[in-house]
Amino acid sequence: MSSSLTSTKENDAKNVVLDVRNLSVKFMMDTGTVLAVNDASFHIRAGETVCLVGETGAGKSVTAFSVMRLLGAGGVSHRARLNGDIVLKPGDGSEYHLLSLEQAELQAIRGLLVSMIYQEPMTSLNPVYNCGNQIAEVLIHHAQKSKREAMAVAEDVLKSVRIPDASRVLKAYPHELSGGMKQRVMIAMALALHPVLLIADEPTTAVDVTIQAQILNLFKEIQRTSGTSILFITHDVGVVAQLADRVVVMYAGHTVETGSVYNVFRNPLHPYTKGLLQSLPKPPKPEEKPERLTSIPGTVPNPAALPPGCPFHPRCGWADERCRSLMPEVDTADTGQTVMCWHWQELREAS
Amino acid sequence: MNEKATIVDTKNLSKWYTSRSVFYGANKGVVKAVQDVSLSIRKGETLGLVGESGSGKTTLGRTILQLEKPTSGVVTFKGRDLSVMRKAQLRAVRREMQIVYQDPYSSLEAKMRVGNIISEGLDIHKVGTKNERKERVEELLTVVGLVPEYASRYPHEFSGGQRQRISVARALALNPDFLVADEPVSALDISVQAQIINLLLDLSTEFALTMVFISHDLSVVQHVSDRVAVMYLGRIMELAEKDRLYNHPKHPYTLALLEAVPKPDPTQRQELKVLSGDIPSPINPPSGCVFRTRCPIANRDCAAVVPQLEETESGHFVACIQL
Repeated sequence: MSSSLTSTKENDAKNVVLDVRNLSVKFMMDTGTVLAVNDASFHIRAGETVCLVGETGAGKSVTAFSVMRLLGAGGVSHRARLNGDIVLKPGDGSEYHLLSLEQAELQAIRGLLVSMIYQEPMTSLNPVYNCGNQIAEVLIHHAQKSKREAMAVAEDVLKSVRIPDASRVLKAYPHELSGGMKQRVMIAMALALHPVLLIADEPTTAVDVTIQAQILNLFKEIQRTSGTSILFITHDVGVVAQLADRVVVMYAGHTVETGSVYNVFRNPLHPYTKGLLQSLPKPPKPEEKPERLTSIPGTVPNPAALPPGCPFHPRCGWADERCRSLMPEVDTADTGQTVMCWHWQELREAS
Repeated sequence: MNEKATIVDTKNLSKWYTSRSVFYGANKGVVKAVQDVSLSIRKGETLGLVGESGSGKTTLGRTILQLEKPTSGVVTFKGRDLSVMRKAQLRAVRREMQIVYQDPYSSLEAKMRVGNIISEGLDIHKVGTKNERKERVEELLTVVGLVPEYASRYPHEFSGGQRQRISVARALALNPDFLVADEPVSALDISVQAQIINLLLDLSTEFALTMVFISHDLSVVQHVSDRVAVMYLGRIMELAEKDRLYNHPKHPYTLALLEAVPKPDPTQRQELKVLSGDIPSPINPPSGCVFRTRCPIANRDCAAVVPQLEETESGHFVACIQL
């Protein structure tokens, strides 16, 4: 299955499941406008895993919330203003322009075609319903199942995410489960109706490393067996390397680089991507004093006060007058990587 | 390098917390946060302390500093027993041992100016004149990569990385010999993390600091430490020189922990070898070896015997009866 998937991935641009075009999200705060996402563009093909990486405030979660349309008209924040286009193509020829859908239309899509796993498994499950009920809800709503049928399916779904004692967990309340188990219940709920797109917002950030390994293995299994496209948000470069087909790097709300995981890790084009990869602690050589890490100077800019020109220029060793005044255009390299930098060609030759 | 003098020594150190029922005040159970830890920290070294949440890393660090009173056991600092000291004596010793906390957002008093935060220790110990203290604050701000003018500002004006620099400056104010860095970079972004790690490495050399570096991030600990101790449910499972521990781990838990870290290289994808299950509750830990419920090589004996930390090779300590 995986080989046929790879060939379709390479050959068929029509296989795009999610197309985010020039998405901008502004929050109109009392103190001024916060530009959380600026002109972000990327796409996800069928069966593909795209990792969205970036630091705090890069706009990763806001992008995900926009795809779920939890922001914008009828969303959780009346201060958000969304621009651009987010197109969902489930593969049956239909197209949904998510930013212009009505609430009723959105409810028909959420959970059925697109579902989302949130960062905090502790707070995103409802404490007063048992896990079975929460999973069954989506089946009853979308698949018109009876309560009894839905509970039976829920148990199967729990088994599919490798929960050992599924019939017990079905009746358990969230507080009775550990963090790792809760995250599995969330994943089970999201996968119950085999959505075309699964959005996972930092699903391993709140759990320990041995539990993270369990969750990552589960995602690898989902990749192998389900055909669901995954938008995986993380700031952990190790997780990206293990899961992604393609990578989207965000900085200050911009998609500064996109490309296949192999290209981005081997030949990062944007100075920020380079800096990020270099600042990882590497195993030092035996018997040597640890060397200094290559760090990126400065800090992530405040989205309420972005610098003019390229948002990365205050931290970039290559910045010149043009970078300080003009926003770089997005270029496409021969490797298929897109990069938002005035100097990427010189930088590539230099390295 | 092995024969350096010991600066901090713990003998069978334990810290238990009694959790009481909200309604009747009856004892519900005892959380054995730190159990029977014996550890010598050598002058000038950086000892990494790794483990998952609930393993007792932070409690151990705080108990060594006497910020938590030990339930039993002894901590000696430069040969002096801290656990029998009176408050005034302890205060004098505290000049020499400091801590940097995990969360730079809650560990700096919001209503104090940065200069006062840094000089608080100097004020308490009445070091120098007012002007000398002011100069010292400015010097410290420069040392940690900030500018002296920041002394008159408030913490909220700074980013997480800058705040952590302020915390480091505060910790260094009294020229301590011993520093506990409790997850000093966990709350920071990767690009800023590298800055703070570099700062701590530079300063530990410059000020000849002995450091306990607590972190759940194995690659950060590997980068900064000379020796590393691995904790699980309040006990030390393995302790060795960094290179030995990372290249030749012996304890099954250390092995599992190292294998669970995703490698940042897409050409090295691996099915991660995983431990089954979760960390057991510290209120009701397994009998015998606390790790046995998740251990791939545990047998019946492991339930009966509490393994002691034993030196299997020179400087390499392991607590496992199967080895």
